[in-house]
Amino acid sequence: MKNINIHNYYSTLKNLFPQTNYEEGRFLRDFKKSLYEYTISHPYCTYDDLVSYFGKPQDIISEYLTCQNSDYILECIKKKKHTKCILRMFIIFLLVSGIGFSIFCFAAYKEVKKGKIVYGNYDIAIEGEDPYEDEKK
Amino acid sequence: MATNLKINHFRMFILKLLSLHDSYGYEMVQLIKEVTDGYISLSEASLYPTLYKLEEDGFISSYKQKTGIKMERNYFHIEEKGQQELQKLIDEYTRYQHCISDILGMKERFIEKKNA
Repeated sequence: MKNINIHNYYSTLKNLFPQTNYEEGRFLRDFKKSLYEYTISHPYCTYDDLVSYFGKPQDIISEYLTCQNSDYILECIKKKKHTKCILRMFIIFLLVSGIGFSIFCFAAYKEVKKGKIVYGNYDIAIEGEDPYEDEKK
Repeated sequence: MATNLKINHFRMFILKLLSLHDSYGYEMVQLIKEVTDGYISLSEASLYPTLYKLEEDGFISSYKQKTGIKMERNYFHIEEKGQQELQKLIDEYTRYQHCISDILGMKERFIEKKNA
């Protein structure tokens, strides 16, 4: 879409959809095609031209929903509830794991603070032939 | 009821257009506008969902056709089942129209007769 107004109009419409499943995706693709068709005869159309021809994006959504059966709207509400529930659970999980990790870090810090580092000299003996024996001689 | 009526009318318009020749969304909207001098406007928002429902019910089918370097149109074609559905919708509409005419042409005498 070269015309920026068409891009803006389409983006506004796309963002207004309550969900994007297969049917909505198909509708948006077909609607985009209609927008393309419109640009053939109106290459320099403005946003207002699009609104006067296709209607406001809000009106398109409202009309689209009118054409759907009640199950669709119920499904949308249900999905929204589910999404909210999952989001809440995710936030709770993040909070709990964050608190748990902080407690673990604090306990580890205390343990390290209590502990003492012991320094000493150790001899390391390597078993087998010495590969630098010839050089030493 | 009003919504159902509207949807049934849209179904009838679409099937009628497709019974004449295979067509795509934008063309259908334009044709309805031209034929009715803009009195009836079939918007894309109601056209496409109706088309999908008709396709789901097996009344129409769709196919893609390239019309340019990048352009591709979704053409719709009416099936035999769709022709039958169109006839059914026209019959229903005619009956409905008769009922409306009867209601509008109702005389006071009829009410009096009923009450008596």
